[in-house]
Amino acid sequence: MRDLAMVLLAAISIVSPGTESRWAVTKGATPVGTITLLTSDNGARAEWKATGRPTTIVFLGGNGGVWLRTTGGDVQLSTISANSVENAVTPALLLPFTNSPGDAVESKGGKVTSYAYRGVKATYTYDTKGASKVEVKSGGQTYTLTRNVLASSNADAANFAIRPKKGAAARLARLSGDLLGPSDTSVSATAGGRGVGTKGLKLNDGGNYDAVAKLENRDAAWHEKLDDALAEFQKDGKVGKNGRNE
Amino acid sequence: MMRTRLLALLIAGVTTAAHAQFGDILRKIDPNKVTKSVKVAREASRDFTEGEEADIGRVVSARILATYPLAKNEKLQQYVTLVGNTVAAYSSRPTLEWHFAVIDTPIINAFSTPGGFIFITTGALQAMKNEAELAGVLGHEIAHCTQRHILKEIKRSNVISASVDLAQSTGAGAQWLNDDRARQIGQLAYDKLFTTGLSRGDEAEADRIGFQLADAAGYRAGELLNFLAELEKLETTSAMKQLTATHPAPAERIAALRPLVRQPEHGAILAERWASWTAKLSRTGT
Repeated sequence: MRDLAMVLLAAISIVSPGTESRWAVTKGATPVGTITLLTSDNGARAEWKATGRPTTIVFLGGNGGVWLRTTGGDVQLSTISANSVENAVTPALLLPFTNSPGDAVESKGGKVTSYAYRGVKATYTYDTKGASKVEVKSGGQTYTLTRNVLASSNADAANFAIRPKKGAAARLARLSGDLLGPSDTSVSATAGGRGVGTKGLKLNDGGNYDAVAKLENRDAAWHEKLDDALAEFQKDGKVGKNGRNE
Repeated sequence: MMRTRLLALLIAGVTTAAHAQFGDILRKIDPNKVTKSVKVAREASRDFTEGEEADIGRVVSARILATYPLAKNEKLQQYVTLVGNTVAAYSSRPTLEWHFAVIDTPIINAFSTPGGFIFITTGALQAMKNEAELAGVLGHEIAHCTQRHILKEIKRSNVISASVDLAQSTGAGAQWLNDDRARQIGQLAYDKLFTTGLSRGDEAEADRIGFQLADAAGYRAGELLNFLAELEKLETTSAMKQLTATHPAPAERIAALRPLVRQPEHGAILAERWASWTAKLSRTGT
C-alpha cells in the first residue's frame, strides 16, 4: 500500500527524481535567497540560503512529510509555527512530500498546478524539463522561484536521510549501549553508499542469499542512526574524530 | 592495460604480416571484428566497477553465510559495526558501503569479501581482551578489501575469463553473474578464505595497513600484536586450524609488525568498554 502511495505521489513531483536544480527566490525584483534542490526516488532535499547570509537551512522531504534540520535532529515543519520566508517558500519545491496530509494539491494533465499549505499558495509554470517557475503567495507577499540550473544527479542517499530529533527516553536507551536501536530487517535496503550493485541479488549457487539480504537490510535500518551513534561512540571512547592519533 | 596493448599489437602484427604475405587474405579480414576484439580485450583488462565488486561480494558472503550463521547477539553486531565503521573511515575507501557482521562459530577467524562485507567469528572475539585488538583485526580485513586481494585472485584465476560477459553486459546489473559463474567465484573465494589462504604478501600488506588504520583511528595499534601472541598460544587447538592453514604463523606476523610500534603507550585500548559490550558473549554467540 505504501509503495502504491509513493507511485501516486511520484506522479506529482514537480521535477524529476535524480536531479539537482538551483532556484533564485525574488520578491518583486529583489533577490531574497536561493534554493538548491536535490531529488531522488525516495526523498528530496532543499538547501535554503538567504541573500547576504552565510548560513544554509536544510529542508528534507521524506518519511511522510517535510522536515527541517535543527541542532539535535530533524523536526517536522508542520510542528513549527514560525512564518519565515524559507518556511513559506521551500516546501513548494519538495512535492510529492507535503507539509501535512491535508494539504491541497491540484493537478491537470499529470502536472501540479497549485499547492496550498501553511496559509501559503504556490502556483506552477512548466517548461519541457519540469517546473521552471513557482509563484508563492504568503502573508500578503508574493515570492517568485525561478529555476536557473537543472542537471542530473546521483547524490548519495545519505543526503536524504531523515534523523528525527530524539526524545529523552531515546537518549537514555542509547546511553545504555543500544546505540543503533533494534534492527528492523523488514526495512528495504536502500542505497547508502557507493558501489551498491544489485540489492537483493539471489542466485542458485548454494549461497545463503537470504542471510546476505538480512545483513544488508539490517544495515539499511541502522543507516539513518549510524552517524549519530558513531559520533557518540567515538566521543565516549576518544577514538575516531575525537581521538585520532596524529 | 598491458593485455590490451599486447592483443592490439598482436592483431596489428598479424595484420601487417598478412598484408605482406597474403594480400588477398587481408581483404577477407573484417575490420569491424578486429575493432570488436580490441574492445573485448580492453574490457577484459579493466578493473571491476564498484557495482560488480559489490555483487561479487554478495556471492562470496552468501557462501560464507551458507557455512556459518550470523550471531543472534544484536548488541554484539552493533558493537562490531561501530568499531568497524570507526576504523573504515580512515581507509582508502571510506565511502564504501561497509557491512560488519559477527558469525557464530567457535573457530578463530575473520573474513572479508569484495564490496565491503567483513565477518568476524565469535571464536575470534572470545580470544580478544579489548577494543583495540578488535580494531586491529577489523583493520586487517578492511585492508584486504581496500587492496582488492580477493578480486585479484578472481581475475588471476580466469573465472571471469576474457570478461566477455562483462563486456556484453555493461550497465546491465548482475546479468553477467549467472548461477555457474557465481558457483565458480564462490568456490574460489571459499578455497582462498578457508583452505589455501591468500598470498603471504597480501597477508603482510593487510597486517601493515590494518595496523596503520587502527592507529589512525586513535586505537593503541600495538594491541594487535598482543592478540597475535594469544593466537600463538592457541596455535595447536582445533579452533585455530583454519587460521593456521590460511595465514602466516602468528610469530612471523608479530616480528613483521613490531617495527611499526613506535609509540607503545599511545592510543585507546578500551578494555572496560569491550567488557561491557561483550558481556553476554558466549560460545554460541547468543
